[in-house]
Amino acid sequence: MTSLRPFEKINRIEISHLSKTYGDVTAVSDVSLDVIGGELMVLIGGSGSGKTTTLRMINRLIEPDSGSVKINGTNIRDFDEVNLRRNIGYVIQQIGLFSHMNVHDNIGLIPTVEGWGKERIDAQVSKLLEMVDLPPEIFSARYPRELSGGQQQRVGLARALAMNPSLFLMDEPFGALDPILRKQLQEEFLSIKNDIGRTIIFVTHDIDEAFKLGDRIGIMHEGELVQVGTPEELIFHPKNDHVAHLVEANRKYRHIESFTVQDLMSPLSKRHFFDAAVPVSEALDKILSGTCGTAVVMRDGGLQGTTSRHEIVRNRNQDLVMGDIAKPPVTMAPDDAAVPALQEMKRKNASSALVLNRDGEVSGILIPDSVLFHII
Amino acid sequence: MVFEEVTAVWNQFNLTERTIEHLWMFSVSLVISVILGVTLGILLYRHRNYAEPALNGLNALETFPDMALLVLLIPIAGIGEIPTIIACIIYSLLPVTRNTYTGLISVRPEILETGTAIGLTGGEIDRNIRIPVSLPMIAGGIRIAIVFTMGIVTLGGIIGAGGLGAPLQTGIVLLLPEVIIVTGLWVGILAVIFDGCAGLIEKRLTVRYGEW
Repeated sequence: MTSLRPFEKINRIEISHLSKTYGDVTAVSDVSLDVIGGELMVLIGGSGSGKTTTLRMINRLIEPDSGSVKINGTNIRDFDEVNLRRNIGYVIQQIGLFSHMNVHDNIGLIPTVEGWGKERIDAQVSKLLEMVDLPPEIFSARYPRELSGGQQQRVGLARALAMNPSLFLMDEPFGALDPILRKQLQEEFLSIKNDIGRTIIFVTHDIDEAFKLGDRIGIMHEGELVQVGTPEELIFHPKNDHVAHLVEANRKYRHIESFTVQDLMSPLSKRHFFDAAVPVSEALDKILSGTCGTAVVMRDGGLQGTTSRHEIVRNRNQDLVMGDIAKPPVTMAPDDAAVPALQEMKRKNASSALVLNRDGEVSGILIPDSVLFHII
Repeated sequence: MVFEEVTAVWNQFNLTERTIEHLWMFSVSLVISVILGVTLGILLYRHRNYAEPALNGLNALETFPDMALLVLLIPIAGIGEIPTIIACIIYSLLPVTRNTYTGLISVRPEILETGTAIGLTGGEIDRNIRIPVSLPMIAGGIRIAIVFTMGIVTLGGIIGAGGLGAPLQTGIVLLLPEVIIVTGLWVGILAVIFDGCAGLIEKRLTVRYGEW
C-alpha cells in the first residue's frame, strides 16, 4: 500500500519538555530543542547522556513519559508511526543491514512494501547506489558480508535515502569505522548533505565530528540538554565547566579553521573613536586610559582611518589633529574566515584591523594579541 | 558374483516395490511433520507462555521407546502404514517444532528493531526478516526429522507396514543374513543420501540467510 507522506519538507521540529525515565534512571530530563528545517543538528554527549534516547523519541521507537515532539506543528503522535518512520531516514552505528538480503533488496525493502513497481525500485536503487559511489552493476547483487565496513555504511545511507525522506536521524553512523575511513566518510557525507539539503539530527560522542558536521550542536549531559549553539558559541561562551571541558575550550586553537573574524574580534568602545578635528594632544589622555591601542578617526560621520597609541604618543607635542596622523586601515567583514584575515594582517604588517559591517560601520577590531587570548 | 546375489535377493523380495512403499511412507510422514511442526513452532512463538510446557511434553514423547510406541498404537490405529506414519510424526514433531520456535525467538533483537525503525509493520518484519533469518535453524530441525523418520519407517515393518522394514523383518525371523545385509545396507544408503541432501540444503540456507 502506498501511504501519504506525513511531511514533504521540514520547516521546524519542536521538541518540548521531553522526559523519559526507566525505573529510577532518568534517561532524558525535560529536553526542549527547536530544530530548524535544513540544518544539521548534532546531539553530543557521553554514554548515558540521553542523546540516543532523545533521537529515538523522534521516530517513536521510544514513547516519552512526558513532553512532545512536533514536526511542522503536528504532534508526531498524530502520525501513523509506520508511516512516520518510512519518511524518516534512519542510520545507526551497527549499520543494521539485513544480512539475508542483498544490497538491492536492503535498499528496496521499504519501497517494496510500499508497493512500488519493480522498475521504479530498480531505478531508485541504482540512483542511490550511484549517489553513495557504489556502482550498481557491481554492488546490487552483493550481500552485506561481501562488503567492507565503509561500503556497508554507504549502503546503510542509501537505504535511509530510499523513500526520499526530508528528515534524517543518525546515531553515530560512523562510530564503528576506523579513523581514516571515518574521516573520508564524513567528507563524503558533507558533500551528500549539501546536495540533498535535508534536515538531519545526528548523534555522536566525538566532538571533532560534531564540529565538522554540525550547523548547531546540542550538548547533553545526564539526560539534560545543557547548551545548544553553533560551534563558535560553544567555544566562546560555554555555559558551564562541563561544556567548556567537552568542547575543549582550553584547546580552541584546534578549531581555528572554523572561526570567522567576528568570533575573534574585540568590541571597540566609544572612547576609541575620535573626530578628525580633535588635536592629538587632547586624544592622548583618552587613548592612554583605554585598553586598546588603536584609535579610529572619523570625519563627517564617516571613517577616515586609524592610528595607533604609539603614533599619538609620538606626535603628542606636535601641533596636529587626529585627521593628520590617521592612515587607511586594514578592513575586513565580520563573516570573513579568520585564518586568511590574520594572514593578510601579517602580510601587511598591520597591528590591527577594523571590522566593518555591511553598512560600513565599525563593529569591532581585530587585534592579533587579543586573538591569541580568544583562542587559548 | 556379489552383484548377482544382490540382484537375486532384490528381485526375490521385491525391493523396488518395497523401496517405493518405504519412500512413500517416509515422504508422507515428513511432509506432515514439517507442516505440523512449523505451524506449532509459529503458534508457540505467538503464544510464548505455552512454549515451555508444550516443548516439555514433546520432549517426554521423544524419550518414549519407539518399539513400545508402535505397539501402543496398535489398539488405537491398528497395524500397517497408518500407525507407522503416526509414530514418525510423533518423533519428528519435536525437532521441527523446537527448531522453528528457537529460530523465531532467537533472531537478534537489533535486526528486528532496525526493521521497526525503518518503518516495517510487525507482519512485514515477520515475513521479510524473522522467518527468512530462522530458515537455517528450521532446516536443521527438518534434517533431524529426516533421520528419525527414516528409522521409524523401517521399524514399521514389525507391525506390517510394508516398506524396507518388511524384508528386513523376514530376514531376521528366517535367519537370512544376505537379506539382512542387502536390505540393511540399502536403508543405510538411503538414509545417508537423504541426510546428505538435507545437510546441503541446510548449509545453503545458512549461507543465504544466516548471520555472519
